[in-house]
Amino acid sequence: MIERIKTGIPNLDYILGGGLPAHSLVFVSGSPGSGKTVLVTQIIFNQATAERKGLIITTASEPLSRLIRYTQTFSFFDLNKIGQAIFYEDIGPYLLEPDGEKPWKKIEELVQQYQPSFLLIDSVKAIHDLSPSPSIIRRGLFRLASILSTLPCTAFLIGEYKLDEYWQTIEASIVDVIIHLEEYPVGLGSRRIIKIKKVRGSNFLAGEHTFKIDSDGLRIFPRFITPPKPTIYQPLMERANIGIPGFDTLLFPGGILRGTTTLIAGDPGVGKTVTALHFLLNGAQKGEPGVYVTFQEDPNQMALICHRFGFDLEKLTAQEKLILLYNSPVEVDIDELAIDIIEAVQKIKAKRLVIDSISDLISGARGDPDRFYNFVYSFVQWLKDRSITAMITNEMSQLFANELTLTGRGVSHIADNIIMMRYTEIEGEIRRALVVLSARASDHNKKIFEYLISEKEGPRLGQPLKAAFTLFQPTTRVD
Amino acid sequence: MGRKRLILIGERDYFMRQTLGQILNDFEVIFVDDGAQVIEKAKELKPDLIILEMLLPILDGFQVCRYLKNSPETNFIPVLFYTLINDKDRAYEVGADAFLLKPQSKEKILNEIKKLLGQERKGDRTS
Repeated sequence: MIERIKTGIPNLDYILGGGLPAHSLVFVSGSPGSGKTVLVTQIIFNQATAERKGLIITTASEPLSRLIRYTQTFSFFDLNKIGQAIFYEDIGPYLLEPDGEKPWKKIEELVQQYQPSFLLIDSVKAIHDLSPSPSIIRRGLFRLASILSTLPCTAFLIGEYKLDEYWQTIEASIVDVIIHLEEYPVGLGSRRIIKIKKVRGSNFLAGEHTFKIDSDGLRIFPRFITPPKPTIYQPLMERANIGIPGFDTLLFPGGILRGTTTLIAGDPGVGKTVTALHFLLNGAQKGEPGVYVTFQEDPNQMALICHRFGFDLEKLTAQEKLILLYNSPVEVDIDELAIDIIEAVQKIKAKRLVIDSISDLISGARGDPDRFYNFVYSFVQWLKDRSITAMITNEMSQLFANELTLTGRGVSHIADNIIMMRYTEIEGEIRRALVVLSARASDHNKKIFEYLISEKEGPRLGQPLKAAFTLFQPTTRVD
Repeated sequence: MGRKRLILIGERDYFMRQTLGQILNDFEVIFVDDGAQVIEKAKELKPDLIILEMLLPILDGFQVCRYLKNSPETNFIPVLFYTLINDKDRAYEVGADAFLLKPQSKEKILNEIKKLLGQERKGDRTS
């Protein structure tokens, strides 16, 4: 079993499959400004001690003074470690000499002198660029890797390479771990991603993971994945009450099955939020904590809506029966959101969850339909695994149309139950109607009902609508 | 000023020799390439300590250690395994005095050597 080193960077150890293999040689590649230096200095500041020294060697890519000045802006920077646990050396001047072997000899000398437990060379690409021949680089890297293999040292080589360049480098062929960072523009903003490309002798979480850099350094939001096999999931025959008059008696006799996900699709303003909110707050009041994820209503609006229907949002939140997560649909990233949801669910041991609405998450996937679909699928599986009963709303935009697209790709197939809500015209006025389109492994009413919502009485199921409408037919599911 | 203590090292890796050479610069150090040479030099020089890699040609580290510990000419010399092979049990089975898995810090290696050299010798070095 290879010993692992914890990096101290949130979620990096998780995507690395448990941390960095101790004494490994790590190549960190990425375009300039992608966060490579921050990543490695953060690890070194987290880990280095007087007994386990860190050595940071700068080259011609980043002058030492600038590196130190910049690193000081992060909370992980600890002045007390400089000169005690962390040492900076600059080999820039050796790179300016015509003898290409000199920088390598100097690095070897410094490594033998300090015998560091953590080494950073920032950057190897600068040595490449100033070297008179590639054979000197290959020889230098081979010697360095060989010397490092004799020491209990975890070493990081930084290189300013793009995604299609890094794998062609000499570094990529000799290292044990490859981490690649990228930043690319999305809309008016940008997205930073981290990819683990290689961890010798170990599994890791492949693919793109979002990360952010703030004053605490890097924070990684691992790609949400489906568990290889459900850990505790077994169909629960226990039911959860929605708590809206008529729903648990007429629509889903006895309530909806626990651990299932219900999709509420419908016209804008038809009552999806009110329904999902009642499901969650009714549960919270009866001892089933819930997390409400909204992109539609900010906390003030939510408090107002709750107050109108007689719920005390502040009290439920203070009692840890409810967590309201508000995110702007413009700024949200689905993997980042997933971490927030997981933390909220764990904090209050949530039994219920609402996402209002799933259509807002499409922008959080940065326009990537596969990423969106994979996220929704994995997320619903994650909820099932924990027997969390969920409601997800989805807005249908084709108001009053006869032919409707229920959701985006495949989402209606991922949900266990589907409730559809529509506006309808009855006797010269616009009223609400709903129908349960499907309920997995459970009995449900197939009639179309009127849906009544008033501030005084809250939402409640009305009478079946007998007039012949084609309101819910045909309904298209797009896969 | 006393003489420098002599350490005989069975180690083939060029870079490991360099590193050990740096770490042990307060000692007199002799490197040999294979297991047969370790035995030969041990008999001839009666070093204060022998450091062995398990992976040695002709005779491997375990065979060498067993031989040294069974021979009255060399059985008093402490043997430290400093090796890539994680088999501490076998090392002690063949008579090793200490075991370290590569790589280790300078401090750890020197500490171990200090302990071994501090031990009472069962025989005397004849030179």
